[in-house]
Amino acid sequence: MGIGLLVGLAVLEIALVVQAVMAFAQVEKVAERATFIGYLVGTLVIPLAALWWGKVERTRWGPGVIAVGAFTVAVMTGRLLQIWNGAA
Amino acid sequence: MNRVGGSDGANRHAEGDTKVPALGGGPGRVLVAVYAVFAVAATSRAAVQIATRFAEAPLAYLLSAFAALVYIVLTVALARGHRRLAFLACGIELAGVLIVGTLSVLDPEAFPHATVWSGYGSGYLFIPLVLPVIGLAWLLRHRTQRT
Repeated sequence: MGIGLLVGLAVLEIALVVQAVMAFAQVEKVAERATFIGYLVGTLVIPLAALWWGKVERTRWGPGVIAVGAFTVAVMTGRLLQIWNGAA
Repeated sequence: MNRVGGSDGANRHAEGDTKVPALGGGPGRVLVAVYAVFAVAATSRAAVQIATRFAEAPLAYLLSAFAALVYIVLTVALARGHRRLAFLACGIELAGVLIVGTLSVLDPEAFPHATVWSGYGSGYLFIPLVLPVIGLAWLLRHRTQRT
């Protein structure tokens, strides 16, 4: 797994932590709170889980695992936005 | 199902213990990742549905829980190389998405857009429909290999 991918993953994780902290601070604005928090925690865990599961794979399918994780985070962030706006 | 029969891969070692790649390795590793995502997503969704509004649509929510169970079984079976179990679960998954998908199109009121398999998984980019096909194809490639 290349250093570029690792750096990208680290940047993503930092951004997700910032997002989660900001969202948690205003979580009382959200109606579906349990789902919202579930998604937030999910976005934090997924990149790490993808790294753990993908790093042992020495072929091009290892980064493929990271791609799956990143896509999932994208979808979940979209759902977070929907829940956030639905409550506003 | 049956490990004997079929043709031995030409570029593959005849001995069973040299599996290249393992069931949960190579492309299989990505497959496990996707199944893991669906296992978590379907489980959480079913849990929320059953905990908060089970009476609204018991059938749909029980199906959600069943789908979640199938995804969990598949994730573990693929990751650990239980080929036979994975095959069975993949078949159930394909049957489930086809049956529930068809029923949800024919009788939308029985399935208020609430399961992973409704509308052939249209709420999930049709991934639930494509996934078992890819899964079965991957498992079939392992037909002659010991797992």
